[in-house]
Amino acid sequence: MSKKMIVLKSSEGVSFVVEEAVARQSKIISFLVEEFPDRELPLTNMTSEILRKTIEYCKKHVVEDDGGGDSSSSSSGDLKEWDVKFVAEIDQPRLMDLLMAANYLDIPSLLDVTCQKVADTIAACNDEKEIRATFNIENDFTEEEVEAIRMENQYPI
Amino acid sequence: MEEEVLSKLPMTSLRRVRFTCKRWNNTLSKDWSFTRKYKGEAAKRKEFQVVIMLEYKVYLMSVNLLNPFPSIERIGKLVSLDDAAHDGVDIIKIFHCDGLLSPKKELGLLWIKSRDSYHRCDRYALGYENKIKNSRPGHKVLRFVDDYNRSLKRRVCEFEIFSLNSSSWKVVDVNPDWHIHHYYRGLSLKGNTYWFAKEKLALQERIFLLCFDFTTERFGPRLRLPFRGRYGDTVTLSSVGEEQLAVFLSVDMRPLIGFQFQCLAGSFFVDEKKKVVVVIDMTRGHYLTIRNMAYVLGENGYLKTVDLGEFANGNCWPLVCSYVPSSVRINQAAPPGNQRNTSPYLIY
Repeated sequence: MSKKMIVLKSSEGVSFVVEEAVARQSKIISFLVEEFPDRELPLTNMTSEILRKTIEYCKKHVVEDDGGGDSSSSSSGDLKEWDVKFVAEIDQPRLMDLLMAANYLDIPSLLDVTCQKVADTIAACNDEKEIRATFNIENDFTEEEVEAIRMENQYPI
Repeated sequence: MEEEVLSKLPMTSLRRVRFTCKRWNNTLSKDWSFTRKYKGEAAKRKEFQVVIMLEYKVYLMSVNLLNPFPSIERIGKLVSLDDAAHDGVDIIKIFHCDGLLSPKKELGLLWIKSRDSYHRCDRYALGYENKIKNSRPGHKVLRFVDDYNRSLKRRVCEFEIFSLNSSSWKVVDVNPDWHIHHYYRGLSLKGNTYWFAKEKLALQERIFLLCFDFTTERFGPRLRLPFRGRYGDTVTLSSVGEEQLAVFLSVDMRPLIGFQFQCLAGSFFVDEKKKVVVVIDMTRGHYLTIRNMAYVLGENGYLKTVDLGEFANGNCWPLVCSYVPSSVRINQAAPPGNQRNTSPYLIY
């Protein structure tokens, strides 16, 4: 029996043909597939590169129904290891794009791993200056404001 | 999105995050949502942290009770307003207060100006009002003394409450017919504080639990203990999670550790899942060789020890409090004048 396929279109107009079970890990796509069956789904705010990465993740995480009940294609330990490698290979700006994509498409597990990777990157910074440099954040505090926060937050951490 | 990412950070990074930019600082300062999310994430990571006082300094420590090598490691030191200026401050007691209704959590320094005097035997308790859901909880500090004062040659009985909302003291009228020994530390749970106490005039020295209700600002009825404890027994209180009170009664520990836990020390915390109790005390022996020590006690005589460093000061008994993370600051009214110059209390 051939598997049902759906078509996702990136912002550049590139079409990706994906198994429905793979794409349905996104709650948004799952909803759209039911509302608009047999239609190409345009994802205008996702580049081909990010869409390709997202699909790669979903393919790895799809739970296949092989007749004998649900079974994941990989063991959970292997999957975790794969996830770590998956996010480790992505550079900072693309990681943020992927995080936004996971949020937009509503894929909780991908959102979880991308958020964790960003959190780990923040934790690896030695001070707030390094955090700002890494994430290209502007320091929008005045000196008085910094002092005020310092006064308000006398925490051990 | 920020909340999602920042809640996955280890606690030691949160301070840096706060100073990064306004947006992140705002995320961390949200009263309810961030704290709740952060607690959830910390629970997922199975982070287990306690606050330990060693040698007059306070540390946040990460606990790993895995057999066969349990460990307790420092992950943070108490940072106060301007650390350099306060480095000479010795912390002698720690309290911890948390509640399910309240997202607030004390792990900071409160400098409170004394009303007019303070006594050597002063006792403190920390709590908050359990008002209507989601309203801002009013944190309060109870200070009391009910003892004979040798220098004044008379009995001193004072009960007063400091409200953090109004930043002021008020006297409460209590005439106790019970007595709380100075080595029985209070425990704050769900906004109220519990102590072991005995009847002041009773011949029998049976102990019971006494609760100070910070909402009504009254002491509650006596609560019976599940065992027959006598005044002077090594008994201490701890909390399990945010809801449960735990009592530790040290029976004869000599066969196991060679000595009895001290009344003054013997603070503890519980890991319910692993069914172990961790008691913080010291080793015994020659005063130059004494170490601060954590004793991990389990079922069937299980005992492991974790060295917490030198007992150098000679009279600072180590203490521990269970701790659940929070980044929310305490709602404190601006204090009138420069309070820190006038006999400040350090309450923790």
